[in-house]
Amino acid sequence: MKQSSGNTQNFIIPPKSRFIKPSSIDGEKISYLKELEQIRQSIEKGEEKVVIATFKNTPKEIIEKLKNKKIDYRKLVQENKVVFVNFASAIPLQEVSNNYNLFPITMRIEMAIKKNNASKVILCETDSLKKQFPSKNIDFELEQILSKLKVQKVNVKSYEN
Amino acid sequence: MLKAMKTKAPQEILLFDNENSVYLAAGIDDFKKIVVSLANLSPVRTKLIDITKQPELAEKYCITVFPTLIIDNQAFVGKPATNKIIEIFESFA
Repeated sequence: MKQSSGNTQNFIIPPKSRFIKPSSIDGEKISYLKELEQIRQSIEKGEEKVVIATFKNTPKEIIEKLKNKKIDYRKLVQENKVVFVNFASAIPLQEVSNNYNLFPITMRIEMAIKKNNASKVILCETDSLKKQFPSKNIDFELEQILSKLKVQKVNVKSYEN
Repeated sequence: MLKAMKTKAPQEILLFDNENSVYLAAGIDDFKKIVVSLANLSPVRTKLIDITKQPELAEKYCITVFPTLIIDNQAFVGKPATNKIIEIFESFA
């Protein structure tokens, strides 16, 4: 084993940006709601600002779900500590060809990051994109989106459902 | 180009795209012709929106992809062939 010598310190340089696909050892899925519960304190303390991209439930619905858990995200939004980016369209959506681009997802999230000076991005329920856009390889598209977001030097977590 | 619109003609047509989009370059002429045809048949509010220049409208309509065509309260994604666009418009008549 390589030994450190003298007063040289061993340390790990954290990456400037990370993409984390949440999972757990016991196979139990970690929900985005759980994640939002867990990071609430650090947001409240002002340690990080967060962008939450919603693909199935609207921000209003997510705020309501968290309110049922006695967590007040509405206040965090009012204080500009959290910004929601809503991709959960209220109107029916029909795919008429496969000639289209998911660039608006990246663009709108990037704008929210810059506007809020956010350090973390959480993508909620990305599986719903597969139903909305069946002719696209959504896993590949998401990888593309995430790699572009990395340029913003933010930590990104993506939850399929 | 289009059959006469009856009472249920759309009130609003919005096309969300980006000026650098290859889809827009290929499809804008067709779209304009169709919108002009439609406007001659029935009063309709039409707007071509560049999502990079009017991101607030992309927010308002929860735009996820371009091109997205919104006719009243329905969204159509992907650049359709001209005959498909006509078919969509006529479905509102």
